[in-house]
Amino acid sequence: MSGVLVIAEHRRGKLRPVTGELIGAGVSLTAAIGGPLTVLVVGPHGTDVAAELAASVSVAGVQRVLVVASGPEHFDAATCAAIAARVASDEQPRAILVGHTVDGMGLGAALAVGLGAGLAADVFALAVNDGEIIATRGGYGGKIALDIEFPPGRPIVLCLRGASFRPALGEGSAEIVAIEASPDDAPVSSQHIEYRDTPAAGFDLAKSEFVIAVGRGVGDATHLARFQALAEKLGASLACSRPVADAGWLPKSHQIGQSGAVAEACKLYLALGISGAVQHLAGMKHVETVIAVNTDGAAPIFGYATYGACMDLFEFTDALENLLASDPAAFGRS
Amino acid sequence: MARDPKYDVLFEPVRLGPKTMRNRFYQVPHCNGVGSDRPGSQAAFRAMKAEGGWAVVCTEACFVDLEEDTAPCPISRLADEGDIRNHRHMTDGVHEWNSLAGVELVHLGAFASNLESRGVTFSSSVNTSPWTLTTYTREADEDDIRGLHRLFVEAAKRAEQAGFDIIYVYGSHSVLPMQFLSPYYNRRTDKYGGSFENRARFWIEMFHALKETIGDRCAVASRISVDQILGPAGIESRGEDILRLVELATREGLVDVWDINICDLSDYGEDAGPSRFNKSNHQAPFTTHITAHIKSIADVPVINVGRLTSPDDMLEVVSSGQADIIGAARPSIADPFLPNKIEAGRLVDICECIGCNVCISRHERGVPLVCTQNPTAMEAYRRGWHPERFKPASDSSAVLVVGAGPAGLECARVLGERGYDVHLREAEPEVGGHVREVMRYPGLAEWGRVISYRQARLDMLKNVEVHTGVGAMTASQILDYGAEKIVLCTGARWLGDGFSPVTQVAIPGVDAGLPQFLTPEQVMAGEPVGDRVVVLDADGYYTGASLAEYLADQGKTVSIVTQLPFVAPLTEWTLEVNNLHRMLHEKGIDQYPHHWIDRVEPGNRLKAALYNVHRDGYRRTTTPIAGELPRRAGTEEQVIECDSIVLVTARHPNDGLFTDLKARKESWATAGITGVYMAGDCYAPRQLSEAVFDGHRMAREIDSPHPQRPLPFIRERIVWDEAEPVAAGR
Amino acid sequence: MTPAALPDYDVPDKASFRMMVAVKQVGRLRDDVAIADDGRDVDASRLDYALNEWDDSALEEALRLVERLGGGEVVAVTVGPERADEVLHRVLAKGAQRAVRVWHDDLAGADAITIARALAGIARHERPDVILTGAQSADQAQGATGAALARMLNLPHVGVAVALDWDGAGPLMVVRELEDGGHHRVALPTPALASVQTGANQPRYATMRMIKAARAKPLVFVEGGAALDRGAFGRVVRAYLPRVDRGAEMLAGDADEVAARVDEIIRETVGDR
Repeated sequence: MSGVLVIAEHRRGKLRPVTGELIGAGVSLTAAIGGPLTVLVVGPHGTDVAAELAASVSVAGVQRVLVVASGPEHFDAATCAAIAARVASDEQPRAILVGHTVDGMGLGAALAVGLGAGLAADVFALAVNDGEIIATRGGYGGKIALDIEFPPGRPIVLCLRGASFRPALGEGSAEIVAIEASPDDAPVSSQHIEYRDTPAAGFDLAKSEFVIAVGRGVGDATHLARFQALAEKLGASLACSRPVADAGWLPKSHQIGQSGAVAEACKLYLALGISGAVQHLAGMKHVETVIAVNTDGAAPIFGYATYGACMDLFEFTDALENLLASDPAAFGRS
Repeated sequence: MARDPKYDVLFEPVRLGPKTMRNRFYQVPHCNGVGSDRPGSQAAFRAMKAEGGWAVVCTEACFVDLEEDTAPCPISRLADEGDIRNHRHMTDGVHEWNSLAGVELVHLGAFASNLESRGVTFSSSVNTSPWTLTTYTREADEDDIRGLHRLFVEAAKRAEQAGFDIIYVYGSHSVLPMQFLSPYYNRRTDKYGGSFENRARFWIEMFHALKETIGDRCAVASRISVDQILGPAGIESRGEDILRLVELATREGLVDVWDINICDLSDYGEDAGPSRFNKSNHQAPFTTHITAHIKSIADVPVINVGRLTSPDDMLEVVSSGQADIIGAARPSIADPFLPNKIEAGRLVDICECIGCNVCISRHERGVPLVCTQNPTAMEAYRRGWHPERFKPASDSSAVLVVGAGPAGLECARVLGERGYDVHLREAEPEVGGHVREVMRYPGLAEWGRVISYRQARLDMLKNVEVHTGVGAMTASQILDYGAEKIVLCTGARWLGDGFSPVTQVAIPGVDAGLPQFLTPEQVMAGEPVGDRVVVLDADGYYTGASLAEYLADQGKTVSIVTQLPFVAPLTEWTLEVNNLHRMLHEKGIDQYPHHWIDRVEPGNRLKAALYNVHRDGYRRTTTPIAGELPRRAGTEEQVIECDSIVLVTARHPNDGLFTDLKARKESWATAGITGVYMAGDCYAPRQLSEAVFDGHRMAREIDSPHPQRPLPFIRERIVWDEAEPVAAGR
Repeated sequence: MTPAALPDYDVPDKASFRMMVAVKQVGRLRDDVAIADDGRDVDASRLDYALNEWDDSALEEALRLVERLGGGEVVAVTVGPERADEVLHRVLAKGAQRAVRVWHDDLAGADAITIARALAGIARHERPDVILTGAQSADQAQGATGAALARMLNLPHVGVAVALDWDGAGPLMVVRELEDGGHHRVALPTPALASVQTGANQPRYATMRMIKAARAKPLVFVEGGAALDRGAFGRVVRAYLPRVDRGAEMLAGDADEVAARVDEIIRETVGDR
């Protein structure tokens, strides 16, 4: 076995950002363990989608891009896993990188079982010790880090956490190879019915420079109007952590985190009553300036924030509102 | 668990003259509504704090002159052997836990009411105060001053015999020494008035007298208000006088520990600031430079107060040099075990003061204090309650608590501590009951700690399940639930028909079912309120004024109508009244005191008929006639127009569920139910502190024969004994 | 990677539909975290145990499916030591009809795929129509068990399900949640497996009566899994407290001072708007 195989993730014809991160991780990994870096693109049966995406994954460091146009019309974990297993058996990589995403979670484990490979998911760091791959993931809500080692002689499937590895950049010159379909490529699978997009929120969290996010600490739905007003007054977008969206206090489109939006363009993130669970951090820990307000001084978010205030978020909001009331030009509002 | 090393500095000992306190937590002098005449209650209350880790525990005001009192507020005395014995019971209790005991020796001067003593007190000049009004002081001449010093010295000697380690020359809150220092009170032209040296003389002489008497054996403390908050008319923290005073006393080595705060006793809400107006550590801008000044002369330790409840805030106060010692009164009432909890790493268990000042409101009215957050405050002696110890459940009953408002949360918490299996069920998606609304009133965010403290505790209790968002339970569901005991904590609601204690009837035309009339619940639920609002307030506490402010902040034009002589008179006891009225004035909220509404003409524009409650004739009819008011009935009224009326007129218990269950009492036995009880406002609406107390008591006494009736408690009183008549006070 | 071969136990005949729900007793860390002596896990004495929140949603989905079908059985399965019975009692109280626990000491610390093999072994006995798992566990959060289980049994699988529906005859209709909040509706031929996301439903509470009644429901212990290599697919070599940068500069002062400082920071970072 040698080298690394990356499985590209795409949806509705577009490559998903995690793919770039997987390739970036693959570049570092092959530098340490040697061998080729190969990217597999599984596209819908009988379309050019895979071929079109191949060019985008052909970045510096990638030797070959394998293109298979025998997949399901829309993502299906079982089918993609079967195809990927077939390709991996031929390619014999030491490690297979998949995104720890909605699609990836179904794919990675199924692939590992199909290959009899090792598996670690939600991996946020990789190391190579004496030629052995060590994957680091978290436990108990991120309070603990776990280094995982794998038995020799088997490939390893690694599901990498999003926004944790630097994406690969730069033009490459990979060889693009088309792989034939096989009758075994279509096991019993799900049948796509439709996509239902969330209604447009009127703003795009991914484009906001200033985000105010509220968490469980906000208490209940009746308080949201106040934070909505505050966000408006400060010229910020109002976002939330998962429990707030689950409870229906804000639409899902306002949720930041692993299963929500990533605040990509955000320069300033004000987190009110958010503890900093790993899932939420995934959506914002990359932000340059983070201010966290929480009554729990030991909340994980303080480990990632730039500034922190250990206090009650309502007292904090009272004070912000007082400052705004006494000085309309406060906070740079004209 | 262990102490986080970053708090180590808070547990360093501090030397106070000849004594050493074992850590930096200091319970500053404060009233508790019992004083030395009820030594059982006093000692149990104070010793609890020593047990909880406070290295110094002080008494309340201890008047050295028997001719002075501040009735109805109970205080301490040190006039004779009986007082010494009573105080010794407290100091013994404090010493048992290796803590030091401090006594606030004080001459009150102009603020003495003397309602019981019927005596005359001295001041620097002839003074009276906003509190005492008709009672004036005599201007002390030099003989009188020597007499005052003598009384002080004799009291100090008795204080030492009583076991006190720290003896105060009290000067804060504008008591007598400040009445000499401050030109606001001192209009003398002799050597005790005029220049700084003259005005400071009385205070410095008291220091000397105390130092000479007990100085090498007890620590001399002085509490000073460095700013009377009266502006240039009084002592200012940035003025010369106070700096010169502390310099003089420090330089001469007369003081072993400075206890610094602000205020004049006429408005000591500026010191004991309610959370509505003053946030934690609110005195720092006045006191920090005083500490620096003291330190530039000698290394005498300095205490600061400011309703500090957070260990990190305390750390900041000490690390930044603002003060050496964390002084606290209210935080020590809310959680006597605060220092021990920091020591044990149990930060999340700290029960923080919410700054409601209900404690103060009780002792100001002459009764033992209570605490919204800590229902065991002042119950250690009379009911045997300890905040950290609970009698284990005596049976294996499973308890269903219906309603997770303040009473339900507290009831479930204490039942859980006792080891009962509890299900606490809340109809709404969030726990907290009406506190969820109250905490959103302007400035009252800290009141939310009533909820958050209990939520955190319940989360730790494995035997308590909290079910939220389950909707209102019905009697059938409760009968079918499978619990053996049921405690209903379904709270109360504000009436929507204008019913009030003013007339004991509804007001014609008022109907909260119509959009123009709103109860407080409706306002906080976000129902629309018109531009011109009248708040109809028969309650007299915070709800009316808070809602008025809430709506004024939204840009509405607001008026308050109340039958009472002024808006929110009950806030006089919580020390909020002055700033509350300044707020009403500043925010342009019109007030109609002495008024009520006779009827309202409905319509999009409401027309309310206002009348003065004193419009009737002042001469009572000599011969009554059936069907007629026994005086001339006034008819004058004034119609005011508005868009909305907010009804803060009366509360009513939500006890329908109890009525339903009681009607099906014959089914209880088959359902396995041994008792159905009520706790909190659903039994009878009352103040928040009492709802929490009721939930607590129900849980402590749920295995008593008749839990709905409180068990008897000790009434600390004198009982006549023919064989041994009680010794005379003098 | 085959299902584990587990001893037989008393599986009732299928009267109507059968849903199998895989549940896990997860450990929750309190504030005091300590690493176990062997350095490979946390000190278990510092853990509070509870039913995995995602599995609670999966159970609720199963109970609702059966209620809407007008009949059927929900059987809960867990791989865990004796203390895991507590979680099975809870799911029985909430409405599951039967519960099964698989365990052998060799399974301690087993990875997700090994656990899936044990669950698959039970599924072979139970032959359910639908298997539901939680999308991930609160303590390990790999989100792998459901997908691994489906692959082992060759079942169609959908992860991160937020809505399910089945008429008992046609395919299992599932809506899965995508990252941007959008939804993807798919149809799975049964038997099928879906991993359920929290927020899919509001799990019901068990009343005290339901808790008492559950004591009479069958809870079977199956001793098995001895031959499975618990570290075959990955082994924890080291558990440690992550380096917390404590980068946050804590803002000091009272609320007004903090607000003033935040005002400065806002102006510095995003300027005038």
